[in-house]
Amino acid sequence: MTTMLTLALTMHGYIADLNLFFIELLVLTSSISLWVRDVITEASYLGDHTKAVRKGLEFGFNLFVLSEILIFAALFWAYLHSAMNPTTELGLQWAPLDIEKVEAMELPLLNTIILLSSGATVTYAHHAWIQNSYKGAAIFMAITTLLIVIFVALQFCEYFFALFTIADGVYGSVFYAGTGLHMFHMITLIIMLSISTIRVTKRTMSQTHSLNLDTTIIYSHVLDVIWLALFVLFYVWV
Amino acid sequence: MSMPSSFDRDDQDEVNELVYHELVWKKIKENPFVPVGMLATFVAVTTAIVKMKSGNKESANVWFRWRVIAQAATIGSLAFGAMYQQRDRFLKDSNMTLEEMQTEKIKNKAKEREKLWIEELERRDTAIQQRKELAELKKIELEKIKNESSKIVAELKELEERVKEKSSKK
Repeated sequence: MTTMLTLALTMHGYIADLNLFFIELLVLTSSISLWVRDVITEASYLGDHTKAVRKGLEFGFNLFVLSEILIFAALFWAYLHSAMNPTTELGLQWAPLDIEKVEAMELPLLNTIILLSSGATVTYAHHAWIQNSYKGAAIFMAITTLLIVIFVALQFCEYFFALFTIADGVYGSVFYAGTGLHMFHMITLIIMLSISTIRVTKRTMSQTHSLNLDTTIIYSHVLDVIWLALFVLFYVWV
Repeated sequence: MSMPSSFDRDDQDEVNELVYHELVWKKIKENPFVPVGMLATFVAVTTAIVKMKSGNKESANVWFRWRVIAQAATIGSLAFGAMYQQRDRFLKDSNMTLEEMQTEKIKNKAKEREKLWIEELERRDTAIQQRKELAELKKIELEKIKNESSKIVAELKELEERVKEKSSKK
């Protein structure tokens, strides 16, 4: 809530600088850390995660994944709505007149390949976990985390060198809304993956209590597939 | 009106004239593996999540593997499709067939080799020339030395004769 408020007020010029936002980010990060610590304690040491609780968490997470898919569906809809019927302001064409598109077969392709490799490593981590290999799971989760970090860094580079901004008409808005939302999810995924890696290394998860790992794996796969759709629609088919 | 630039793609105007769904249809027809691969990826990941939910982790893992394979195939077909298109466009631009290009290439190579061989021969020629000059110089030097030595020999003989004359007088 406060993040949204500070961001909105900054974007609309009611707050002059980003200091308040950074303080807010610090508060958010620390509260998330403490919350996660509490949940891990409840799950691993207090034994509060009974079968019913796990079922509820899993159900909640699956609904969350569904809502993710729906929010991206909304963004794809917005994109296609503008693309299929470009207005006169856009020069009656898509991508709009005088927009210098990002070349799909350059950095985005590399990003896609990195993301695909992360998909492969996370699948191997899952396989290792099923085979009861804590070490293999931990190593491959760590590699996955690293790959996602590289992905986010490259995404920053892409935004930095792109020749249009979020303010450049509907194309810029919808492009950055789509890919940017995906990037924020990737940052979340980095947090989730690193927490899972640490938990596997510290062995606070077992074969029967690995909801954290399972949900992280599902999440990473879903985000990978969403990126495929994003890549094809936003970068290739324009 | 903007000026034409070498950065323009030839088919850009043609692409810009297409309505979006026509463009997508064109792209799909150019590379039908992409939508098929995407569909396969979606199916695989959905099945995997359903299996995960039912608690069958091994089966979910197998489906996740299929997800990665389908996605890799999709991306691979995209990349190779782009490469193929680039090649096609290049061939179209160059108004030559592939065979002509290859014969041209072979001809160029032969010419290049000939040129290199001639250069090599010239290099050898100059080397021989240089050696000849050197030999000439050496000859002259030898001639000089011979002259000098013959002079010295003559002097020696004179001296010897003088010595003989002196001794006979005594």
